[in-house]
Amino acid sequence: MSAASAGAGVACQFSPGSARVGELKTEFLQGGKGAPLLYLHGLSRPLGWDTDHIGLALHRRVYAPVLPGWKAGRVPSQVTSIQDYARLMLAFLEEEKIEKADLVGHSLGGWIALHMVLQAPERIERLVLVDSMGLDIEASSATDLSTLDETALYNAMFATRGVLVAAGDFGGVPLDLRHGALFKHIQNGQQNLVALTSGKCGEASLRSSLKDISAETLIVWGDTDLLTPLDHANILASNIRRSRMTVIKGAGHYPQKEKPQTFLRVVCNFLVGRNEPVEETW
Amino acid sequence: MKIFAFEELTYPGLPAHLGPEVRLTNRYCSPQLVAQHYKEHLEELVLEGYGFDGIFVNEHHFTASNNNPDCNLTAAILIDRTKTCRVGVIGNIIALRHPLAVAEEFAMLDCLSGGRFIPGMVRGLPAEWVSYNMDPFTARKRFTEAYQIIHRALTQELVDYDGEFWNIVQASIWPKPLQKPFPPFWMPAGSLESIRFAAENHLVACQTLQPTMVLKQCFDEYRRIATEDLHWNPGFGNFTGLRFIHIDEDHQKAMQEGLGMFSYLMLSIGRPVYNPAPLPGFNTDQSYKHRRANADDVFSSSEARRALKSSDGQAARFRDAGLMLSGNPEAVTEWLIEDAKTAGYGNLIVTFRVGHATHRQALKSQELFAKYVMPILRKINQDQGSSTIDQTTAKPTEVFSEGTTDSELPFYGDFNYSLSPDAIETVGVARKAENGHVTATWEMQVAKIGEDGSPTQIIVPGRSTEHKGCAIRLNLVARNGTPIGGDAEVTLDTIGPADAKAQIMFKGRYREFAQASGHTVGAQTRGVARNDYSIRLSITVPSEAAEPDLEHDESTFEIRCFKYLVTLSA
Repeated sequence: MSAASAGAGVACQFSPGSARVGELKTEFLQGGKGAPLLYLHGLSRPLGWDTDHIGLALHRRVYAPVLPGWKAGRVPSQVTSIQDYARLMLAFLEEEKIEKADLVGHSLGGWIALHMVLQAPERIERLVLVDSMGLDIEASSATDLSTLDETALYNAMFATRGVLVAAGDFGGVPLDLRHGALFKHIQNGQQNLVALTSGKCGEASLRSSLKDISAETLIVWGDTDLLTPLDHANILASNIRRSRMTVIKGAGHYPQKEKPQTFLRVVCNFLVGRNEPVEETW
Repeated sequence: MKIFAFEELTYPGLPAHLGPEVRLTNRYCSPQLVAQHYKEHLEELVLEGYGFDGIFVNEHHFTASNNNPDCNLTAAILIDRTKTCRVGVIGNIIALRHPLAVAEEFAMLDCLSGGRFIPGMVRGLPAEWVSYNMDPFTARKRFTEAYQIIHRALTQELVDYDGEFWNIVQASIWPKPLQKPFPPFWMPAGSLESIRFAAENHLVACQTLQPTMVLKQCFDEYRRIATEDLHWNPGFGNFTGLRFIHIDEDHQKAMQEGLGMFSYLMLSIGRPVYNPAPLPGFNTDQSYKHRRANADDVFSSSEARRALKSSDGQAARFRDAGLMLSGNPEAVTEWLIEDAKTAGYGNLIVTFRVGHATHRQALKSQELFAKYVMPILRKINQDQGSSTIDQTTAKPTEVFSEGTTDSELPFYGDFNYSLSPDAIETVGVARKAENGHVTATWEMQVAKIGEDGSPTQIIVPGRSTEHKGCAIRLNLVARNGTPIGGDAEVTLDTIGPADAKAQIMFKGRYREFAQASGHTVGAQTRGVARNDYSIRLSITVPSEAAEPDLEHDESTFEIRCFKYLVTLSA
């Protein structure tokens, strides 16, 4: 990933922005250098310019919007479906004068990304789906978030039981995902999705549209994700024509948090067109 | 155990009211204060009188916590002010510098010190990669390449390297180091990848600012890799703990002061750059796998804590977290013995001037350490037999060429030119018959001196202790294409324009070529053909024998020589 890197100093620089799309305001963070990339969050909104943003910003100008309603903790009345969010995000690109962008969608963001690429394929360069919601099939139905209590939600989201050791300046740093800010925001997102879709994490009609996606697509999945099971990754991979799939070992629904180094190597290799094996994947 | 002194050179004059929200740019730096500070630090570090085994300095960049961005400079000063103790760097950020420059400086330091130098290297802190604006995902590869180049430059005569980041062709550093073999590098090794790298290269692994149990897990993993995977047994000398220490006879006073010193150090490290989240790329998700086996021990250091008469409070927490050890000599000794025995290190690096500690405090702390703590620590974790780190752990390294006794010497390898039938010097072939013999000759002519006065020399190196002379390849056939006989006499000589004496570079039989690999033999004696000299490659056979046809396509030669052109014009 060295050739096109803007460098760590550039990738750490970010600025907040705000765009008005119709009656709704979309707040976002942006930083990095290169072709534009839209990074759509999952159940938790971004909590700052985080490690995954920095990693992507080494190679792209990253736009990380907060879905309208995700900051206030209440889905706005103008949004009644996932397709509405897809239209909003396409309008956001318009507002920011981004003609074409790479699109990374995680979880709920992946579901929105699928609708974006179906609604406006000409606007999307490369597509990355990370433990994406969206599918609901007979053999592997979509999770209903309204049925999960706090413990069940955590167990569905994360492979880590106990302490996660992350890399820090002076070595390993212990993180407690169960009691950290991230999980609290995931719970807020759970409530939002229950309000929007009654808690359902997919829709039956989406599968038949996958064949219409022509963007070069990377499907990234945690091998122990119980919220959006690995079956869904396989269906995405076998139905999206120009797709490839990478499964990250030891990660659940949030590989960018549980395996950030592996996640970024996989995604950045795809973005810069580098064919380099990454450990702990298959 | 061997004991070394070390200092961070933390800037002492940060205003007390600054909070961590303030970026510590150099607006807060007084160079006058730094100048005074350098004098004090160097005085503290020159500790031979106290019996330390050596002194280490390190480098950091863009931070008030360490005003020593080029630690090779301070190492040079310390070398000049000491006579017997070792002086080391721990270390240079080798991935961010040209590795040959690092190798040259290490060799200089080794010569300056009379062979007392200890090399060290680090990858640098993420914040440093931010300010240098480098791609952190390249950090480990750059580090590995740089180490390989530096090690080769210090142990080999010539360095060739073809890497992803560096390409080196035939570099030979001056000076070369005094120590042979060059001692193993010291490096911090906390991640699995670094631990394996250190074990593979027999390096000295260092750890600091971590609880005892983290040190133990790192060093245990090194031992496991070395013994199980690599089949060698590291000694205590392969492991180093670095501890920040403050000692006073009054235990409570020392604890209180130590707390303030370390808090100041943390303040000085804080926010050197705009770095909003942990920087990715330095490690993998497997890097700290070895610490997960027993998370309680790793993060609470409970085993070490239980073994001690622990007191409550922040100072005790800092101590057990491996951050700051303060107290009276007895308490410090007790904790360090437990730390060293549990973690299993045979080198201890201690730093006394922590944070905003004063010169007087540092000197007193040193004195108490040397008097009461050091004698006891020396007795533990000693390697049996040869216990010096450089001897117990040194890998066999490549020998320098002057020691070569191999009879299978290579041909002269520094050629830059080939004489052949197609070379511009070749003017034609000649045939002469006399006294019952026929001599066929390729004739070559070195150009007259150029119009701008530039002289040329063609030098044919002869056999030496390092090579078997310049390669001469010769293939001869007769007119009908059949090989000529082995008795044919071959002569390579040069003759000057006036009364210069002829020089014979080779004289022998053709069978030497016919039987040699690639029809190639070495020149016997050095010859120098200057401007207007002729060079002749002659073959003489009896008149009745098959005569070589030098104009036949299969008759050819090549002389891999050195063409020396001195350009006088601009």
